[in-house]
Amino acid sequence: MLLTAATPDATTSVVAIALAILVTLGLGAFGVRKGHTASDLFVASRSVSAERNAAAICGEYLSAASFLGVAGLVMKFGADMLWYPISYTAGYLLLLLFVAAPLRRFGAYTISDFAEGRLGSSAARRVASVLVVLVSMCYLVPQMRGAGVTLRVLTGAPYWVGVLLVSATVTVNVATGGMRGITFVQSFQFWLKWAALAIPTMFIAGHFFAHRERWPAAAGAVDVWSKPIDSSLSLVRYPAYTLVSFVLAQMLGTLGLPHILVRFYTNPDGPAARRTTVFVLSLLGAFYVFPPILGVFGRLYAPGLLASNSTDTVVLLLPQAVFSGLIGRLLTGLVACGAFAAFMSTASGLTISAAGALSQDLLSGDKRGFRVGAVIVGTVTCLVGLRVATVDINQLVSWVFAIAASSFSPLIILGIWWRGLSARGAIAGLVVGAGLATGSVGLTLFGPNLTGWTRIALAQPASWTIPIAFATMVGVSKLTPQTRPKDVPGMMLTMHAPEALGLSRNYR
Amino acid sequence: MTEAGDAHEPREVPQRVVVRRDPTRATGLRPVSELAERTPVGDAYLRSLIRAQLLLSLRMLVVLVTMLTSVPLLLILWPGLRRATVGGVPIGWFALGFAVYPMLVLLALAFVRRANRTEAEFVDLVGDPRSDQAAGARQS
Repeated sequence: MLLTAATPDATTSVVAIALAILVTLGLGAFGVRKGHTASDLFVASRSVSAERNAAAICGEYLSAASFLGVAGLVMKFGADMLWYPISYTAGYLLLLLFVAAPLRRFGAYTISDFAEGRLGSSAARRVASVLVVLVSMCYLVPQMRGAGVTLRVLTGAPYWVGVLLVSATVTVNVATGGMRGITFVQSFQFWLKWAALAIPTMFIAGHFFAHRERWPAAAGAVDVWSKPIDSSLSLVRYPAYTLVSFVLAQMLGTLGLPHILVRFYTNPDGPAARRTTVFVLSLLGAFYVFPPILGVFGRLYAPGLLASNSTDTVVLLLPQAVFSGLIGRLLTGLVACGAFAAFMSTASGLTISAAGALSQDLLSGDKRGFRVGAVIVGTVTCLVGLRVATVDINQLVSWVFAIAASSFSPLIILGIWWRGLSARGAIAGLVVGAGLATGSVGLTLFGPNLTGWTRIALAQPASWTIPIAFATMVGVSKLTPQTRPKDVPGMMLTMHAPEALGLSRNYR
Repeated sequence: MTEAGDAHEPREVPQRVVVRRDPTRATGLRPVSELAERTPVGDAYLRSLIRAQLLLSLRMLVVLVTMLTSVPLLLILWPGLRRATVGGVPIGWFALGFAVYPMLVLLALAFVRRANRTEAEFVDLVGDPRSDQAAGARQS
């Protein structure tokens, strides 16, 4: 039962990963024939049902951090880590409560469009675009890292092979594919990821019950592991701060993920955006039940990973730790396939967002500009990805969410609900929020060795950077009412009045 | 908008007529036109809608935060609960690893129902442009 250093059988993994890549490229190419130009995409959007759109959103959203990271964290740190998937999911409830329908009615396709339309300012648009590129590229890096690690663990290939493979596949797919193709691919990839966790979990659970095993770690040093929240909230110290800060970052960061908001545009109207979000919540719930179970099984069947500090590979290695022979190999192949689906789907959505923002605001803005943008994004993130082999996936992702939560979420929430938002206020808030969050991350990664509260506050900055970003937006807006856009009541009407009244205007 | 919801009950009808007729008499416009023309009256209608929706969202947010914090709070207040299990799984794990997801979906459904109802009532209040005769018939 104990996992040894032996590399699991590589053949099935190689076949499975090759399959995932080929299917992704194939579906993308198939989609290209369906829709080609921007207006085609616009029309195609109306033919995507809420269910499929929701699956596509989940396909794009569930990244390396969800597929590999959550199970590893639960295995290592225990019940407290259940807050990761909860806040990844609850972010969509916030999106539903405060953003989904009004944002869809406004008709903005990207965050940059929203900034420009809502604030009537091309400067706000450019700032938003720079941040979209920053957030998307930061979020791409952990996907590359996940691919590198996965391929290394499963096949023994060097780290850079996986990084390069995913980078190239995604860049080619995005540079040649249309949005419609991507919707197809994304919804398919959600179900692939779901199956790739659900089926191995069920097999291992069958083994678990067949052998009448007990819930692991009931006593002794692992007590904290088995008792939820014990370590964090009962001691009002760093852990509680870290937990709250982290949950805030995930929940509000979800509102501001550029590749997710684009998806909401493919809903025909506000109520459809709401319906889609409810489906998203259901699908995420159906997915996130599994990673913690795998983490628990990991403690039982692959304790060697704890000692070697490589718990974020537990999802990949568990099947062969439990089952020898063909079943183990097939399950490993399935998991490998799902893992690559996770990297590629998230990376595709992010590359589209970043390339779109780059081409619209910095390059030519046509199809060629988009392709050049995609290649630039792919190359840069690939190079960065090669250098982060040792940084924890979930740490990387939580920083991205902190940056998005401290910049885009105040812009979107205030833009939808507050008439007083001015262009200058929004720009100030974006720059201050994103600047503080990025600075904290940079100091944590590359800065001097800090200790105590400073270190904790910088490592998980969201709970102070989000309020500062909101306060800056409100404060500067009050000081610069002359930079408020014209026709704010009309915008409010467009965002909040039901479609049946036929009162909406176009602010894009 | 809960007042408007009550307006469906027969005894509330007289009040509702006053709300709908006053602006109509003052400017000669139907409420939906007040909105389209951005008159102060139309703006007041819009503000009431936005306010109702925002309050609804904030109420749901309070429910969400209460729901999420209740699990750790219960476990801290009654440490004995930690030994409880559901089918062999410690109760905290069961609540945070599984039960929370259906609850989130239920909360989302409750919100969508209410938000859509608020909007339907608003359309009812200001007059659906597609059913002019129906609105006229009800007013007379």
